[in-house]
Amino acid sequence: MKTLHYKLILLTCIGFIVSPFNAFAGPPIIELEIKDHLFYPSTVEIPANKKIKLLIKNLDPTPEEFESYELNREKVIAGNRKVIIFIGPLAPGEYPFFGEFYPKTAQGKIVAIE
Amino acid sequence: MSLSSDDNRNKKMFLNSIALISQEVLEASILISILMALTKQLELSSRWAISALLIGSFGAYIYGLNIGNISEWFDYVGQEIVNACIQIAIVMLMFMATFLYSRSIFNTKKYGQTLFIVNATAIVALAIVREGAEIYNYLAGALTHAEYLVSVTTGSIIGTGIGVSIGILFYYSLGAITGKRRHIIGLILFSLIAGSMTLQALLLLNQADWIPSTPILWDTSSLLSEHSLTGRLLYGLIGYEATPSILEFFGYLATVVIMLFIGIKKTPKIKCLDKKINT
Repeated sequence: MKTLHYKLILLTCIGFIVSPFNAFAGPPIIELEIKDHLFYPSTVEIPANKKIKLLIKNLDPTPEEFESYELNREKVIAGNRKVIIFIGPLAPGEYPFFGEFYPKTAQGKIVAIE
Repeated sequence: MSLSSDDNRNKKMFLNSIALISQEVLEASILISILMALTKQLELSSRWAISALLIGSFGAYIYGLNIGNISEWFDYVGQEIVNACIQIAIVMLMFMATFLYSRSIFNTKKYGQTLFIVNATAIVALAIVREGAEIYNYLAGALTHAEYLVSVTTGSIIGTGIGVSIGILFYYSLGAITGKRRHIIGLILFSLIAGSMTLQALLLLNQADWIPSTPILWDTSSLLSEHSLTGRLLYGLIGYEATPSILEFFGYLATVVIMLFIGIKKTPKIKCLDKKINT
């Protein structure tokens, strides 16, 4: 019974130590997909003034390049692969992005809202 | 699908190929032309440029082919880290090339000349690896669509032509200027290109979350948009950025200042300085 008591105290202590790290486990993740040279969803709403982790999955067999002049972001995504792009903290507003390899079809925007 | 819609898509792919390829080719093309003008001025052979093209193209092919795996390194930001390392390596090599060129080491020391040639080869080869890998991926994707074969191929050839032509224009323009002025103009161009490389490296490291975001210093997108042709050309040339952050601005500025300091410290006293390179 005494050992159980110690274990409980120990677990509580570990919980207290780890909890701040859990609370700040990293920026929120937003998922985007590329299929048939189109972004899904094409409009993504994110909280303003906060760093965001964009997880982009390219479901096409061909490469695509995520590009945005407004976000200052550029990255090739090989066919059937996923990548991570960090964006922000962004001021409230709209930030268009496009697939540079098929810019007329693959288009979207990030909307930062307060 | 109607014929007109097909035509329209082909036209868009054609124009996109021109814009994309010319922008990618431009950077390496300008670097080659400035370095070739310098080697010619130093009365050295320009054969290094062929080696740089071959090594760079091979490297670009290997990098482009493995971009999927490389992207997964460092928790899915491998591409940013590799590209940033390439950009930083180019800047360091450009500092060294300027140092070698600006000293009169070439008059007497054979190893100084060899070092300069190796340096120039490495700069151009690395620039081609970075830009060429992107071209490889673009073409590898676009050319799998049989309907775009002609528009993408012709667009890419024209794009390459534009990039190479601007490089040739730079080469002969630098050749037409004589003496100290050529050294200064070459140095300023070199500084701005190196500044652009530093800015891109900082952008990539921030994209990978390896360095923090700093506030935007200004916004000139309404004056000159990065979407416009001039904006894209200036981006390719000197790293025009409509919304630079504080860190990017100071990174750019520091690179330019260091390059000018290295280059201006001693102006070259080379006997062939006033020879026109196009004669």
